[in-house]
Amino acid sequence: MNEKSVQLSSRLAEIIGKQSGSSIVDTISASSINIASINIIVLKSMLDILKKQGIFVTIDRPHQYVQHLLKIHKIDYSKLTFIDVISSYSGDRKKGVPGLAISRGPFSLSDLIDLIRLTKATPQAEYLDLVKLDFLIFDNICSLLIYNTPESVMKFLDRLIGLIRETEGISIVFVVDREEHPALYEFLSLHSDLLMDIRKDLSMEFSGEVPGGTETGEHIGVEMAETDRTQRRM
Amino acid sequence: MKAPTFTRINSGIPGLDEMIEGGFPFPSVILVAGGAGSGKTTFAQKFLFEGANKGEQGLFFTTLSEPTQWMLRFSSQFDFVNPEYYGTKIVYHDLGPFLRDHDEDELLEYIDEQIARVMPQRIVIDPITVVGALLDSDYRLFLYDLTTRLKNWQATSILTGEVPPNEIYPSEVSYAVDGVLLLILTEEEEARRKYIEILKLRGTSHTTGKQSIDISRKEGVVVLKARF
Repeated sequence: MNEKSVQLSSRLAEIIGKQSGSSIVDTISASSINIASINIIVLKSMLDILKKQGIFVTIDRPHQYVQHLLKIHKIDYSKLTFIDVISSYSGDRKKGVPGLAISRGPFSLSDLIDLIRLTKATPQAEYLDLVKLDFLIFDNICSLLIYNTPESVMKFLDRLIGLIRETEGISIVFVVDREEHPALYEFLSLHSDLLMDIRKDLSMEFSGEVPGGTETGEHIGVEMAETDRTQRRM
Repeated sequence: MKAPTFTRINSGIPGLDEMIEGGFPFPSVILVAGGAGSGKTTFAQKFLFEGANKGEQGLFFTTLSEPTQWMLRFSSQFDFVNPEYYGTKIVYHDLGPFLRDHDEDELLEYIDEQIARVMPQRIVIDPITVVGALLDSDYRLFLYDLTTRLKNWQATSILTGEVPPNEIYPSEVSYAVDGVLLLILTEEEEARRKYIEILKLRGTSHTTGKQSIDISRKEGVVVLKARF
């Protein structure tokens, strides 16, 4: 992880850590090809800096590769539970592994929502080694559109956000390419407490209920090292 | 259900994206194969500079074709090359020394570490074909592991493949990758002519047949037929 990524993870941790409310929904807009990197940066914020524990839902790749990536980046993932949405099709049906649940696959959205609910509701579940959950991240939510209709993905998200809102002390961070999936972004932005925009150069701006008392809707350029100031909106 | 919506990235090769529904699928692994002088390395360089111009991160592995410093020296003659990207937006890594002393598992781990460090969206391994000759184990198994890992890193990768004069393309690599592009250098009517042909590109309705190409100092590899 380079210096910019580390700085961004610190800034994200600062912003997310200051958010108040019993449940938080945040949406980050980023280029599709950057989503995997941004998710790792968000995980560093949550696990390394904020010392939180949560669920990481893998749709683009099996959980082992994310674990491998986190290991190489020296990010402790012992407090992370994986819900692997893609491995069931590769014959990977692990059971009884602490911190891992394998879903029926990316077409089974109802199974996925049940799995998330079960994970939260029954922390002592046989295959999960959880006491408490603080966050939920998808890698990546846009990929559900490859396997499902937009309508069914919206319905899934509606149920998921409802579940999050009913649950005490949990945050969900979506990372979406708003240029590529404008309807999905629009839907999530309507339900989000905070909207952040991370560009390819890792410069960032955000709007919404900004921690620190800034007015809702104001766009703020976050000072990042080496950021191209001419590209920032203020 | 509507057709899957893949993210695609521009190839950087003028005329090529129109032949492949707008660009290479992201993530994917593409083999660019051809004989000596057909433009493989130039193609790969332009692919990375295209990404760098768009703010994307690139990683270029050289194997046993030419050491990095010489490859950079020659490629710097192209107008599309921006020296400011060297070592920043495009990181070059010479696998040659590592390849001499390590087995395939160690090589895969080493490649993984370099990718994790740089976190690129575009990766090049130039050329992949010589690696097979150095490995003790099953080359096809190695290629399977390599291509799976490259895609799981969430990047689009170009592997270049050398084609001996009596072969059409490196078949073992072709089965493991998502796309195969041939760069053909042939003699016709006492003149050397260059072509590109897309043999396969998974998830993409692509143009078939040979298309004329040129290699110019300004733009590198250019598809001629699609331009005019």
